[in-house]
Amino acid sequence: MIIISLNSDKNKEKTYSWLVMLKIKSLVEELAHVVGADNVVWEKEDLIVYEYDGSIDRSLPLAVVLPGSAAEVSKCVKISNKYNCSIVARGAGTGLSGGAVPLKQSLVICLTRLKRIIEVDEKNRLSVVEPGVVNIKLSDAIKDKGLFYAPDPSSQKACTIGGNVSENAGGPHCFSLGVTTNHVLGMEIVLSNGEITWIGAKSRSYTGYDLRGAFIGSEGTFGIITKIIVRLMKIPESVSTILAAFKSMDDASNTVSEVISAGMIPAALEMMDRITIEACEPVYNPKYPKGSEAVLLIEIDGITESVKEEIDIVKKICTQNNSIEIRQANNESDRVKLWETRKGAIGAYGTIAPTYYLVDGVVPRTKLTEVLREVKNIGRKLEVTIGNVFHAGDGNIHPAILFDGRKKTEVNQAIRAGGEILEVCVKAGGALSGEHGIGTEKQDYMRLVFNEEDLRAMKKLRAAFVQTDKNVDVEKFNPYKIFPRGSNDDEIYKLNDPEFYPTGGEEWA
Amino acid sequence: MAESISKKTTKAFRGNGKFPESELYQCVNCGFCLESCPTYIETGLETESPRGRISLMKAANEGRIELTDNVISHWDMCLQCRACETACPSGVKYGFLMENTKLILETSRRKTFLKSLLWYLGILIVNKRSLLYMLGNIIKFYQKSGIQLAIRTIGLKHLLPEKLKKIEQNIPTISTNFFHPNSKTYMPSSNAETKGKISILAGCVMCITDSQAIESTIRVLTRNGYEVQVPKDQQCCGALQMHSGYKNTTVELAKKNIDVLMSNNPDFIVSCSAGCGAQLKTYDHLFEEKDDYYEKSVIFSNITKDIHELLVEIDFKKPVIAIDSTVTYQDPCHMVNVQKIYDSPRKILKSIPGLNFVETTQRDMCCGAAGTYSITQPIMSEILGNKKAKVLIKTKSHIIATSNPGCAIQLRSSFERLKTSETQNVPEVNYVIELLDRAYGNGE
Repeated sequence: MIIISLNSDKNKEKTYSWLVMLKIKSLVEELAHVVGADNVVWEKEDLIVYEYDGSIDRSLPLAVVLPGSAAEVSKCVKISNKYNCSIVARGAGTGLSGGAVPLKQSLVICLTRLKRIIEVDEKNRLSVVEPGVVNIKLSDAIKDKGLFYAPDPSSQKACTIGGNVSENAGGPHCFSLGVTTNHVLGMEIVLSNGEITWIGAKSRSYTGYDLRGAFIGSEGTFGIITKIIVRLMKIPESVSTILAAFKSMDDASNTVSEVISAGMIPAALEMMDRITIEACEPVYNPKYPKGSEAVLLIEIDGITESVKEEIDIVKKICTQNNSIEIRQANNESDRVKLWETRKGAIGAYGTIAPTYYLVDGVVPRTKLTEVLREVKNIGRKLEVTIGNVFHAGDGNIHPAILFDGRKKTEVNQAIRAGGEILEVCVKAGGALSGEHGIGTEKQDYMRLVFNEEDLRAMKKLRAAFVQTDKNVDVEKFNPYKIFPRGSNDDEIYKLNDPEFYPTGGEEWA
Repeated sequence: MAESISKKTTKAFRGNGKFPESELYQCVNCGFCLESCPTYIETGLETESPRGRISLMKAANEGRIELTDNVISHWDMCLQCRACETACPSGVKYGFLMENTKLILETSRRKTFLKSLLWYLGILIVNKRSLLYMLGNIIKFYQKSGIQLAIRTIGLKHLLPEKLKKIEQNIPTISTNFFHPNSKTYMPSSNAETKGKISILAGCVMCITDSQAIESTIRVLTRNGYEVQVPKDQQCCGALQMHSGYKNTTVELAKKNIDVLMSNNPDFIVSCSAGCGAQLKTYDHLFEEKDDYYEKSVIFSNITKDIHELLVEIDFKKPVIAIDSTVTYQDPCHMVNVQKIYDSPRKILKSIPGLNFVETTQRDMCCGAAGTYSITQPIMSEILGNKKAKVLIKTKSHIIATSNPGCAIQLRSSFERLKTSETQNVPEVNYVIELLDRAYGNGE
């Protein structure tokens, strides 16, 4: 993690030389000519609100531009090429791995104005949307047609589909339905030379390479998405959700394993621990039974009869594993109430500490119990508070390390704890990220999983998308992300260095 | 000069126990609030979002930025509708943070002479009832004498600068008769025993724009068996002043209101305006435990009820006269986000025979009235007003029911604008309490 902590002196606003100022001014003027002056943000104070996303890292952009169409995006890319500056595409900025934090003093292209739902094809169950469409707004718009868009990250009320595609977002319901890549058929993208092109198509069969698959989850390093074709799903006939409270994490983890080995595929299978419960209690007031160490949220959907049958089996498994209370929701409003706490859990950590570092490791489901125990030990050893809220069904754990970002020692402890947790995950045969992406947050841990050879191969794939010339280098889009710092090409990052200018260094000075 | 003022202010912002830091840093930057914010949805700009505004507060608190006009303009763009509070998973008290920010700004904001004069006059008018009625009479004369018509039709309007033109459009229609709080006791209409005593806060703007709604409130309460008073020397509730950063004025008004409204030992204090009600219910936040008024203010806030809330709690008499109209309810922000009253007005409307109640979409969106916002930010206010009006027209309602004077004024003028541009039948705007009164037979 790069950690540009809130109070670090290095993050004091850089002062540009007058020559650089002149260049920035002319860049801003050219952009304003394309998108209108109201849609370019450049004043020093305003840029502060574009230095962050939902994660901890921070870095100021050069300027922010909000184009209103794919053609305008293309024009902005071309202008940025002229000025040798890199680009970071941004949606709502709710990501948790620093994906939208503009390193290398990039120009931010913010796509929140591209929020039209262009087409809904009920018969073929697909929809064409712009990247700035908010995840839940799509499902809301097609609800009366009996359809929905499946990936449902916890931030779905605010995050954009463009951001979801870039990070290959997951969500509670991705256990049975798959993550974003399983729901995107194709997209229109703008390449580094400003060219607008399509990859994938409305039909599900392609000939040739599946570039769509490569692009999804590329964290904005390949190009900028300007339109997306998504698959829509039919709303299941019946949904039933139960919430079960347990006196120990082990009981809850065992329940998860048993539910799945009983042959069921719940629509969602979520767990929260005591710290998370305590954080949520004052905000959502769910009144979980006293002494609950863990709460499970299990949702079954499908045909009415089978839902009833399966729910009964699940309840039985919960009771066998010493559940102290089971609540069941059969109608929509009760369901929303049960889910509310889970979906707001991460933000609710604000009631405990001002900053959280949300780890996103994946472990084989069978190892859940022991990994969680290890996480607890790490917390005890390093004296940090760690809350757990996660997708138990996928083995995608989210230990949330709670600390005060204004205190340097706490920041360091939190980073250490995060690193150790990821090591435990990888050792258990898991992965670094389930759904948040690598970004700046986990880039330094990439070597836990990949060797130099692997990293080089990934860079070659990026180079296939980003065409370089004398003005465009391979770090054109979302620079300095994903790959570990100081990797084989010996890129030495000069972050926070006041002498550091956008690509081209001297040319700017 | 300007430089030195802003430097001083940043210092004021910087802790020293003045700015509530623990509340400020409760925001963890998750961004859940974004889509609840009307100005963010409209502009797509992080600078016009709750998270952005809090980040600017943090930056000011940390001394990273000066309080330039540009920074202040983002805080000023906030409607203080507090929809973000309902979306916030961390329970950040955004309204409280905003009030504190405004408080700091008000002592240091650079203002032109004209602007400060206007602010001074504005505050004076809502503080002094006689001046308010005078203004009401001036506007009434302007509207009734035909000057307004002349200005609007002959095209003199085009001579006005853009902002003033928008403000001219937003001038509310003034009631024929003003309401004067007069300490008269209204006895229960039936001969049955009195259920209790009620003091009403009539509000300031409402007395000159919607006096009929206050009269309806009195009639409805007497019909339900209550003895009602509208004490004479009551003041403005102080909401507008508080939201603009005039805390001292607000405290003074609160003290007077506590004295006047509690003088006859009422069982309840009732407000029929959502904005006033929200303010009265938080009078206890204005005082600290060591203050003389603290205890009184706690009692005061505890017995304050919104009229709809009270009616549902006391299981109001069901009306018998039918109103054969399609009606939808527009939630005032300070009703639903601050007082958390959602069901009560709906229950009242649904109890009226013949009334076809329909729900509208985007219920959580502010109409853009937001107190003084329609005057200080006329452009954004108009955009939001039009948006709201269009959504409401889609419900095909004959009547839009609401419960706040700001919303009522804003909706009426928004409908008026749409009527001229798209020539269609627009719904009427009424208070829920007026409709209930009508269904009771207007006290006859």
